[in-house]
Amino acid sequence: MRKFLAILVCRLIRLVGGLVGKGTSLPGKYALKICPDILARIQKPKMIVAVTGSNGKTSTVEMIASVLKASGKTVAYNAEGSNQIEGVTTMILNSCTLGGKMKQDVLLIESDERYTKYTFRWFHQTHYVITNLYRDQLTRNGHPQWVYDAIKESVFDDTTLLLNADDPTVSLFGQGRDNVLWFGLDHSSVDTEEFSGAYNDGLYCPVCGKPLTYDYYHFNHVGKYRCDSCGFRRHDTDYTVTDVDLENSKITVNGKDEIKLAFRSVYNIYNILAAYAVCTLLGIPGEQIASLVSNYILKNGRYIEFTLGAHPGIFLISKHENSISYDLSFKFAMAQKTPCSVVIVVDAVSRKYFTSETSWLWDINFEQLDQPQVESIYLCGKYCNDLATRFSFTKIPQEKLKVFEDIDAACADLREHGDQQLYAVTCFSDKDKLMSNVTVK
Amino acid sequence: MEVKILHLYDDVMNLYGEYANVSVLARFLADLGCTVSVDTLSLYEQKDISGYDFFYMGSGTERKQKLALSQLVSYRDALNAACEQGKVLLFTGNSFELLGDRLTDAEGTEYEGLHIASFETAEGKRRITGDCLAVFDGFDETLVGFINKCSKTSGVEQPLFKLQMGFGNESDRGAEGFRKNNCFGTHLTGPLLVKNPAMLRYIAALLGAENPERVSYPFMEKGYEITASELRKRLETIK
Ligand SMILES: [Zn+2]
Repeated sequence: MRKFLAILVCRLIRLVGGLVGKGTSLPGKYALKICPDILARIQKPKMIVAVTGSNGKTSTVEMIASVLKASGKTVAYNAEGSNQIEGVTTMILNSCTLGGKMKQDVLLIESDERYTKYTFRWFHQTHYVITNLYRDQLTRNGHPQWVYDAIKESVFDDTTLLLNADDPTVSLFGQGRDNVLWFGLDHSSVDTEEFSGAYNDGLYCPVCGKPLTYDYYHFNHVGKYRCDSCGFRRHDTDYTVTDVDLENSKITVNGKDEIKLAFRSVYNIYNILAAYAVCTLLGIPGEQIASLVSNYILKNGRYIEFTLGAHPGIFLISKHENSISYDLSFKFAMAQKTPCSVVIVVDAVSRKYFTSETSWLWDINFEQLDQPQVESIYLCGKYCNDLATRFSFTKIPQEKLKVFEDIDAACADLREHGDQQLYAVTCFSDKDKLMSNVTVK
Repeated sequence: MEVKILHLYDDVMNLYGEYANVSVLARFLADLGCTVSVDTLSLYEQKDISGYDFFYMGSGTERKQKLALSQLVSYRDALNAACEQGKVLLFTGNSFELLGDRLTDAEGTEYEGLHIASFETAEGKRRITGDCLAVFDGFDETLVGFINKCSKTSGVEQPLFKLQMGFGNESDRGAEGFRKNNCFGTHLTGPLLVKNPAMLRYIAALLGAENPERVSYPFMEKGYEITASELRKRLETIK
């Protein structure tokens, strides 16, 4: 009876909330008050896939859902922003019958990496994708090892793990267990033998603390590593990007399935690979997944083309407090080799909470922008001075810097001058302050 | 004038961009006419650390902090001597905890500290994070910063700061950090000396630079003013 009531209340609030445009966690919150173990009582699909990690959760979940739907499978899944237990509850109770039975083939859950243990307290996921653990929102998350410990509490013996083998911290989850499937990238043209980045989280073995050796790096501390002291090493992979051809915007998976990339960056490759792995497990043929994922345009708008005056421009939405997302955006921009200006906006550090913390700027490898094709770099927003100070510790000629606290004034300056390509790198929290000044293609 | 800087375990205790403290201090001292050298002490490296004027150490994960401590204890006497001689030591983030007698992790395992002071630190399972406004009796400007820890420190005889905002040694809004002679410990993380030009001047003066206010960096000054004003506004709303 309480179960029925919880489902009903959840749906009613969702309905009313939907009308006034409220978020998706509130209905679940009330349902959990009425029936705290409601998630245990719902009859769920046989296959329950959870996706967590610092970067790429939403993209991975969207891609999996899109392939499953196009392949005739039914799937219930949640969207970004409702990835804690309340949001997951809302989604589940709105996807089941009033009797509490889910009829979908798959339950697919994007799970907040810090709170995932609460969601899976009442049931276990059958498959658990862990994409990566980077320095991300450290003002809330502490550090990647802290997040590792939090996720660890939701890693169960009866769950099959799908782990990114190229990330040493993520690989730790697979230590001493058999039911692990590994995904990763083979050696390819994007790799470097030398480390690049403002800090190196891959210097020491996460198991024994002795030095790690890398054969090569895909980016930052992600690559092929081994510890000669304890034997911890990058695991062989079950799902592998066997070739990366950024020139022609394509990758090859498991030596046979070619996937076209929506844009030429390693940024999304791991998400695609994780999605490929999950869909394969659901019996969808590799070539079918490849064709469905090819040129998949991310709905979350990480890449947007625009014009500003005579400038063509590309938004590369990154995440504040997440240096690797910035590093990869700059890597993409610099690979294009066209004369350009780069616009960086740090105005509100987060859209969800208050902080004035700017330490993360020192973790970004701005040195990448020390290229002759970069004509100028606009540093904008409330924290433009902190950006300018950070840039004063790079080799970039200081006369290339233009510092504007006022974002509109920076855009006005660009509108009046020049026609070179623009790369605008900022976070969701500051995106609209730029968007209001440009024309989106 | 010559200033020799030693950055301790920059390879593991670098969680929040702390290397910038050393970069900015080296630049500032050089701009003030000093001859500056910067050395690092890496994990597992053994070397003579006497003869340095400034020792710096930043934050690490709890595991890396213990790893660093396992190596740092062999320098216990040298660091105590440096403190007694009035050398400048700055330990920020959870490296501050290593200056005390003892550190206990969340599982109850105890680690012996450097015994520069008699305080003790106990780690817990809760992350304590937040922006800070800190008052220091060495100058008028309120310091800005961020605390990111999972511990409580008790038994500090001479705290470094009085917090207007943020979580202090005992996780209250009170005393924060530790001072003995010119040895400073604080849980403020990240590039403290970049965010707080007044603290940069203060440390430079301790290291013997004359009239450090001769040199200033406008972007740093403006950055400080904006962050301080943001935090003061924030303080009003949460009071
Ligand atoms: Zn090892």
